[in-house]
Amino acid sequence: MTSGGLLRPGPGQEPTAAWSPACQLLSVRDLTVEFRNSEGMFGRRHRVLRALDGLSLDLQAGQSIAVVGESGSGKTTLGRVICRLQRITAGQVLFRGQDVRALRGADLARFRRSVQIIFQDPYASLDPRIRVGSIIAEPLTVNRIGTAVERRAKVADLLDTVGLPRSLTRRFPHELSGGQRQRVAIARALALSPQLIIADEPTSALDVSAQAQVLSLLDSLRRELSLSLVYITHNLPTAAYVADRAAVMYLGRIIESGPVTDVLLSPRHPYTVALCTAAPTLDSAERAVARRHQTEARGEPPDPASPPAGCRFHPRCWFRPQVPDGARCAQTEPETRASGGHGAACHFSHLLQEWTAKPGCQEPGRGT
Amino acid sequence: MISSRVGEGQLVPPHDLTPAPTWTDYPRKLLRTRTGAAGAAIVGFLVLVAVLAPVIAPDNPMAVSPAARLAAPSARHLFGTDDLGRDLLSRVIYGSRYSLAGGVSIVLIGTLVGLVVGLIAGYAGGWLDEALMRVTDVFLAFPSLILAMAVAAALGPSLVNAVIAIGAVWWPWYARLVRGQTLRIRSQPFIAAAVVSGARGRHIVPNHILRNAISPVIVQMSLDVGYAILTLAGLSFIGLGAQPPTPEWGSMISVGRDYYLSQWWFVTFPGLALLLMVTGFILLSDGLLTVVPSSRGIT
Amino acid sequence: MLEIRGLKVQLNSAHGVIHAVNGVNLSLARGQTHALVGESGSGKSVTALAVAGLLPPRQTTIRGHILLDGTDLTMLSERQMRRIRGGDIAMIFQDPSAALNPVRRVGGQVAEALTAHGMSRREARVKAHGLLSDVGLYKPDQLARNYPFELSGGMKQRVVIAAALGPRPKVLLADEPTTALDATIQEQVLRLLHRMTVDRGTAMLLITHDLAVAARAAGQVSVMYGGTIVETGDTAAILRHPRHPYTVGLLGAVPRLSRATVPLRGVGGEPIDSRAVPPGCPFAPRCQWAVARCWTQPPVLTPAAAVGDETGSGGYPHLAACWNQVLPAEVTVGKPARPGFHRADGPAGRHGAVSAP
Repeated sequence: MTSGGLLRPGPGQEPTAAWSPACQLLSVRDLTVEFRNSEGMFGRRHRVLRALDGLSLDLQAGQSIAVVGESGSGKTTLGRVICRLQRITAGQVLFRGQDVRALRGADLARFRRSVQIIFQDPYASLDPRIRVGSIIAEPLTVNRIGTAVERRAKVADLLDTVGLPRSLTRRFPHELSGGQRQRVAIARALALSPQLIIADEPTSALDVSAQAQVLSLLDSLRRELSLSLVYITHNLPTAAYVADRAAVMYLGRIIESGPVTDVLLSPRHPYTVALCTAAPTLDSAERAVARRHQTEARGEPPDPASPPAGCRFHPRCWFRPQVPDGARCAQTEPETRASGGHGAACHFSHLLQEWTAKPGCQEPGRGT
Repeated sequence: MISSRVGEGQLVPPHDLTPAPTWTDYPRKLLRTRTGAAGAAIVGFLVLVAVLAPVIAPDNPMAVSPAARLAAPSARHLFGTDDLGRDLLSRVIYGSRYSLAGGVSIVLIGTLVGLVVGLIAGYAGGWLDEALMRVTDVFLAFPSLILAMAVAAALGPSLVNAVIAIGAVWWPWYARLVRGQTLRIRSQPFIAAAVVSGARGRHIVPNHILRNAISPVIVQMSLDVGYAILTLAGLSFIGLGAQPPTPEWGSMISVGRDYYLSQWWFVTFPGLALLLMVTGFILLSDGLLTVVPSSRGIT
Repeated sequence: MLEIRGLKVQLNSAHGVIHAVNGVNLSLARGQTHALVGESGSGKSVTALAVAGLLPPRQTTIRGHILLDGTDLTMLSERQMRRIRGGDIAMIFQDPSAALNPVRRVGGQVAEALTAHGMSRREARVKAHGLLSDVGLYKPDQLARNYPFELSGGMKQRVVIAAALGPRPKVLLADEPTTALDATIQEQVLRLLHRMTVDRGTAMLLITHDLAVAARAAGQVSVMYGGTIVETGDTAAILRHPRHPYTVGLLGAVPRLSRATVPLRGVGGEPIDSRAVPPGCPFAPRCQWAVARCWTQPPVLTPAAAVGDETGSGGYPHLAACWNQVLPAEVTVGKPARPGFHRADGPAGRHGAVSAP
């Protein structure tokens, strides 16, 4: 099954009951996650924040997807939901055909060994009081895998895999640089040989050179170990290095998804275009500057607790003044229009595609 | 982003290549601070006195000698004698044992109970947290000394009972402290990472939470020993703690109260000893406060 | 306007002496933006803090000269520095929340920056609203009454910029001002900084670890490693013909939208330990072009080896501190960037030609 099946064209196929490698490794259906804040005396008033709003997503075994979004898009919440760190309000998350929410006992233990996570902050994701060797071995210790000797050997192996010297076993986290810490976190995530790793902005807190190292590492790992990666980031260009597909999120919804090169080089949603042009590149040509100015998202990111009516992006949409019926953007939520596995939720996606195809609007890097 | 931002008076190299402070580092660092060194010296001295009491005390602290009662300090009796002719110096020396042991026991009881309550409340959350914290609040709302007196009176006046009573009112502060630390640590990503690896509370609480929460607790403990000793002496003073003939400082002061106008030594020397011990512990804890990095939130 | 000459900063911590800065030379003219690029431990932040006089005096030894319009800042007392700070020299940091008082309204905080340097309160309040609008905040009168926690990261950073640039400082030190912001906001803030510094003739020293940020915000770049400047020059020249292996590595580490053929290659190894700076070039351990001389003799900044098509335009001299300067043929990490861009900067205007792609 190579269609990707990312965007649900409509109510349709249900997953088969028994899992086989041909099925989706991960399947997210109409996922909604709400946070409630009680205000007022005795908590009578409630503010509901919908971090994820009816989101659907599929991932095959061995495939990797980049979830791209800014703060408030809900991408981190999505990552946490997938590894069962966050409660679901509505919808389903199926891992290997099993409902993640319903897992108990041995099934849950197996799930925990199959899905791992890497966090954004390399400092806070390692216990400062425990040595690196024990940190990496912890998943094995907790699951009572192997003897002490075997675990030590495995830890040494893992350090080799992530390109760290074995002498780091005795060190404490704060003796390592940010890039090294993040690689320790990756080693820890690999300890149980998981099938799916969620990388929540693994490079955002790192220097550009450490970032390059970690991204290369993630890329080589996913190829060599046939890992599935859910790579969460706000830095769009990095997505191409570690993922086959990309999904762009805005305010709890996926507004565009498809093969990563298609999404990056031929975006079909104005927000994606804005992200592409805003992405830090080395291009300071006048044309690039002008294009950035033209396609940037206007104004401030919205409050996730009170999303705009109609298309969520419309108050900030740079393309809206150029479309014939701008009022529609403010009234109705756009449906996702897909073709060739690449779709976007925009009323005027076809017009946007024409616009980006014009020679004066070449993206930087196209034709490089 | 790692930036070598420097705050006022604080220097942090970009990534800290210093070896982690292990427990063995702290004593050395402590002794380099003025208060820490002074405190350690005093406490060390008193601990020696307590341990070597049988060796260094000139007389049997219980040996009654009516003929020599209320004798002023002299070469024979350096601190004088009490109302029953017992050598005050020996009694003061032996008294250090009760105060030390008592103070430390009180703090240990308080810490252990407080740790259990605080860890459970902080990690479990929900109604258990609420229930435990309300109980804690009740204890905290009571004037601790009165409560201790009530418990001691109920249990019957004795040194052991006084220690238990005071320990029983000492734990709420630790519970609050530990709970606060637990909440802070629980929100850190490394806890989430442990959960995702399949760890349960059984593994996380002792290995991660306790290890990270313990240092402010230790500092608080050292601060409290001095006050615990004082509280114990106070209970003995009013008769609810050590009973005669036990040479506990508080009860000695209590008896000497009646004689202090003319036989000043009776009250003074036990009082000075108490002062010295409490001061030593306070200085020691002050030194620890400067040395142990994560001791924010300690009062 | 701002000139740094031979700056050396030593930090005496409990764990030994750290040579954070080892001889830095820099100059900044009115309305210019100079980017100081380097990874953590390179000494870039410490340089800025030294200019602002924010390093703890007892633990720091500063040598060299920092000249602001002729006045040597290293010679000034704390009281004199305090007058200059905020007034002639402003500084903004990565985390805007840390710079704003959480219990005061933002309007008041911007006004405070003005009154601290001799403006009446009423005047300052009016001016503050004007500033908030200048930095692109919507409904500044309303927004001035907000507390910092009610604002997003980008808005807070704009408030900080308003407060910093209000008193019309001569120099703005910006330490990673956009690193903590989302990509779209990052672009807005960089543009805002550019506009405001050019309008007010403020010189800006932009500190960043990301060469891409430097590329779009600064006219001149100095790349720092191990406390020294390893390459410096006009941004365009450096991006087109980097000469120092570290710069080449940094360029290779910037992710591109079209990854197609070019794998992401950064700089191998780990950032330098500033306590144990080796003799010779600090970059030698990580350098794939190192020769014997690199290990023993610390390189000096020399004019970059010229190459065929490089237009010897005016502007900042292109210098590199390397015994084995990299020539274009050896740069195998892919084309650094499309050729032929320059950035209009400062009163001098454009220089050099813009060639077609």
